[in-house]
Amino acid sequence: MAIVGPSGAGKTSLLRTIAGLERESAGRIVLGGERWLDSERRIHLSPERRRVGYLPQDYGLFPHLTVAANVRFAGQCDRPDLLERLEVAHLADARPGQLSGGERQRVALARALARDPRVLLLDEPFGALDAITRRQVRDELGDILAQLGLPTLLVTHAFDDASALAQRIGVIDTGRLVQLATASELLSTPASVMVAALTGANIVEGTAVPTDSGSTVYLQGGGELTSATPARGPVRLAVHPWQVELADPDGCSLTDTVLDVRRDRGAVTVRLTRFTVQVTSGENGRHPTDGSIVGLRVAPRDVHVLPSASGSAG
Amino acid sequence: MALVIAAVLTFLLLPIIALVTYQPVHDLIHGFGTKVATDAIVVSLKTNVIAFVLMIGLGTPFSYILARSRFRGRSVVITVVELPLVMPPAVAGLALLVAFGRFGLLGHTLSALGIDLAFTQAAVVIAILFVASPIYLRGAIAAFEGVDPTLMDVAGTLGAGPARRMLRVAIPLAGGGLGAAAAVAFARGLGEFGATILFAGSFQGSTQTLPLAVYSLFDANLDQAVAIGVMLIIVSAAILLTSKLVVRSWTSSKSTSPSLGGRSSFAPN
Repeated sequence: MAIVGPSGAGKTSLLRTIAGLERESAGRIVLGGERWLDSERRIHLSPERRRVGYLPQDYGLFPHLTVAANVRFAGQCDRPDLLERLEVAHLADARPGQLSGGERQRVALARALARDPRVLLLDEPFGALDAITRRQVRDELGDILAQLGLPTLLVTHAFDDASALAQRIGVIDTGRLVQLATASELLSTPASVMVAALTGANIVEGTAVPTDSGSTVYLQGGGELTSATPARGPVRLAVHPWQVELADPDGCSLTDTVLDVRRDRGAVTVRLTRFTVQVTSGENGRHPTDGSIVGLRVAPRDVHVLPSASGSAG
Repeated sequence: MALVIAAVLTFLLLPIIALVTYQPVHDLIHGFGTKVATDAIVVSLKTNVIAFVLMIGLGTPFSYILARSRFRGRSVVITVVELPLVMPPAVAGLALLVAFGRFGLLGHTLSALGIDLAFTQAAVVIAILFVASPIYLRGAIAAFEGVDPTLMDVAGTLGAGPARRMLRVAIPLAGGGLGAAAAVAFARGLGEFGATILFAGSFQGSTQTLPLAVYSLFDANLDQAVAIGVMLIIVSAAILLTSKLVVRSWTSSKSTSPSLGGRSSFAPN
């Protein structure tokens, strides 16, 4: 399971509270019958009495100890089996400073497992990595976590990382759980503007008029979009960049001006004044030029009407 | 530029050269072997080693706790630790005398128990501790504050209790700073004069340390005073050199590791 939220949402505090590192906490943490925190009963186990595998952002390896000694620190005895399992056995005598980001993460996992934890807590597991290693380490971590079958709580600010690694994603904002759902549910039915923005959606405002098959939304700044969701009055819409199709401006009910076009491997990102659109490279490889006007088409089921504070959503 | 450097170096080195070349080497070595000198060496070594062990043994956990905790009045505690540093040594000696002396604040209670501290070897140890240990405490607090708190947290989640966290993580990581502070404190203790002479007196073989021997021989036998002075310089220089080597080897053995200590850790999100 992953927890996603913007910076300052309380993600790290949540993990630290579960690990017992934050003292000022009220509430209850019960794990499989073990009561770790219960402020009503005045129970607060210290970190060393909770069996957690906690990986902070830069993994927290002890720089003065070798890889083998780092792992030994947790279990009091050598664990060649764990080093083997995480494919770091050849690094047993190396110091953390000599390791790559991915290697550090595997050593930190081996050390956490030597503790025989009941739960793994991962804080921004890719925060300390550059973009290139990030993807590779994420895939590795996914494989390892699948093998372990250990309850894992991962916090990240990146929805991509969460959806790649977790079955369920909780979105938190200023310390509160906003939505708990699968990645696809978060994409199709975001509970708030913040959730939609986190998943990378375009957010646009407009006024909705109900129709037989849903609603038509007249956008601020001109143009209209059809949604399969019935709605009335002022609304905000979430539209994901990969669900927008570029078309000829003639005959399109929504047009926008191209700011720039960026190519990144197979995907092409077109930035418009109000939208960001992701298109796959066409066969002819032709893309709109900067400054040109393009038409936008979105399937009605991909135009998500966001619940707003005033409750005007259908 | 070169002139300024030459002037400063000359000013700093000239007195030392003068002391070493004051008398022929033969006389100098003879001065090392006199009874006054050997007695003073024994007293100095004994009292300084005892004070050093107490300073490290009690000061290290004290500094660790102070560096890791945040409470109201913490800055007051740190100021109290630093106070002896700015106190003139003679005033420190006087203060110790009226605290632990026979007619002092605690002296009444102590002498009722049959303990008389003033003008004993124990008084020398107390004077050295009082004057030198704040140097160590201050350095040790700073060294422990430099240890990445995340590593301490991780150690806790890996099952290490407070004692193990200190011994296995904090002390090794703060080692360079601890070693440097201990060396400076030891050198300060070895040179202690003002507080010792007021609180412990200057009795040969009992409370007369090397600096006190220099002072007492100053009138009677300048050659011998100079010989003991040279001896102190040699020992102090050796401490300085050792501490530099220790700190260097420590930092170079860590240089391959990420500079975790210096990083301001994570945004509290």
